[in-house]
Amino acid sequence: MRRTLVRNGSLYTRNLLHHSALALAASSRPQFRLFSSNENPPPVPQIDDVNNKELKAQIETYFKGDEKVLPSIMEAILKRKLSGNHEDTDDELMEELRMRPLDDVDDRDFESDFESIHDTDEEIDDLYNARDVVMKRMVKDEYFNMDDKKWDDIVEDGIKHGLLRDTKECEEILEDMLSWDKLLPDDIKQKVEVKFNELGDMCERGELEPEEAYEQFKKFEDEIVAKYLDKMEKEEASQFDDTVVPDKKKDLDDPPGEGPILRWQTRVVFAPGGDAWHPKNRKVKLSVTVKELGLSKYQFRRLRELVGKRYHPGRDELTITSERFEHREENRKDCLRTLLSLIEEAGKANKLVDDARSSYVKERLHTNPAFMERLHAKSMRLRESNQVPA
Amino acid sequence: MMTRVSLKNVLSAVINQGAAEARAWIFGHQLNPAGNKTPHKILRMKLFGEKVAQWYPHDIKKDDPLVMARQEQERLSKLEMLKRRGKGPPKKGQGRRAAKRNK
Repeated sequence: MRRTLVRNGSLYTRNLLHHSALALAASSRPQFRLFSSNENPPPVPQIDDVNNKELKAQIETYFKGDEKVLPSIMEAILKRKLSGNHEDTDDELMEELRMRPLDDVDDRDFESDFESIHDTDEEIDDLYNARDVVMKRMVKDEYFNMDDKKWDDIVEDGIKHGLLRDTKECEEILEDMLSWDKLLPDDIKQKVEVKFNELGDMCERGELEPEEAYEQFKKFEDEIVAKYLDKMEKEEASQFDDTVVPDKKKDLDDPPGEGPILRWQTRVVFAPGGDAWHPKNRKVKLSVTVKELGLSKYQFRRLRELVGKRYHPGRDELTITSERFEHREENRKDCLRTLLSLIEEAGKANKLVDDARSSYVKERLHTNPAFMERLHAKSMRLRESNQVPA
Repeated sequence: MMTRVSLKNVLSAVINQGAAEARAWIFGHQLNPAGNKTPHKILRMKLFGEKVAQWYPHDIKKDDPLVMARQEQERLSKLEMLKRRGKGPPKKGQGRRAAKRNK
């Protein structure tokens, strides 16, 4: 009974406090206006007081069995509290009530209250038969005890029957819901925040009603969303324009053919010690396809004469090996130097051939008597013609 | 009657003109057309004296002059004792090798 009294009292007290708050607000506003109009405020209206006899009578009625009197009792108590004239009497009354035991308590109230607050599942009579109970529940409810296989079957059914048409779109929507705070860019968030704070300040200052502020904020939000959608459409269009433009790169510095021109072979020995040097790491082997060098016929023959066995005719491959120095990189430099020297030396063949051909032709002409006779006569005539002006 | 030399042969011969010297210069060879004896074989060897010396480990006794002096003193003492017993080294010209030579 005491708990019921306290619970019902608290409920009614909330309502009374709410109404009294409204009354206080209503009363405070005209006071404010009167102050602004520079007039003397009228005295606060006095609240009606309740006598001890009246309160005692009401309490007696409640204890006799009439529960409808409780709100009026609470109102009376509040009135006496606000008036502040009966503090001692009320304290004595509270002490008296606390000491007094309560006889008639209804269990039904407790049970109804408990059941309404805490909902529990159906009770299982025989716990030793839990398997059968679970099977029955799975038969009754399709979504009981869900697992991945069941979920996949449901999704498959949905796709077959056409209920779930675009799962990709669903996934995108779910991802957006999961990370909803990352959908909009930061500048739009800042704009919305600034607007919200501005409207909040106006509400606090009293310049705007909350409903009107909410309407303005909603309008602003719709405008922002519309702008963002337009921006996204423009960006998509620009993306399409970018993709449509074909890729034209004509100035490629990659030489034609497959693979590199210089092929290096080296050995790397991983020794257990800290020093990475090992005698086997020294040797370097360089292979070149002679066709890649672009030599003429005579140059090629001279190259073959120079390199000897280093040239492999079957693979058209020239191999240069060096292990002269202690470090691999020095040997690589030596290989390159050797290759360049060979190319330069082979290139001399053209000049030698031209000189030889010229000397051969001159010798042949020199041994021809008819040509020599005509040459001699011509030179004599030239000499005579030169002497005449002298 | 001079025999005519064809252009092809002339060109073939001229291509290989100076090839031996060029090859020697490029690959670092030592030209020796006459096959004379030269010290090139020894000169092109890498320096391996230190490598040979590493064969025996370093004896730290040689770093201590006191230890070496004591060993020298012991050697001299032993030699003195041998001489006193008539077992020292022979004088020049009285050894086995010198005697063999006289025969």
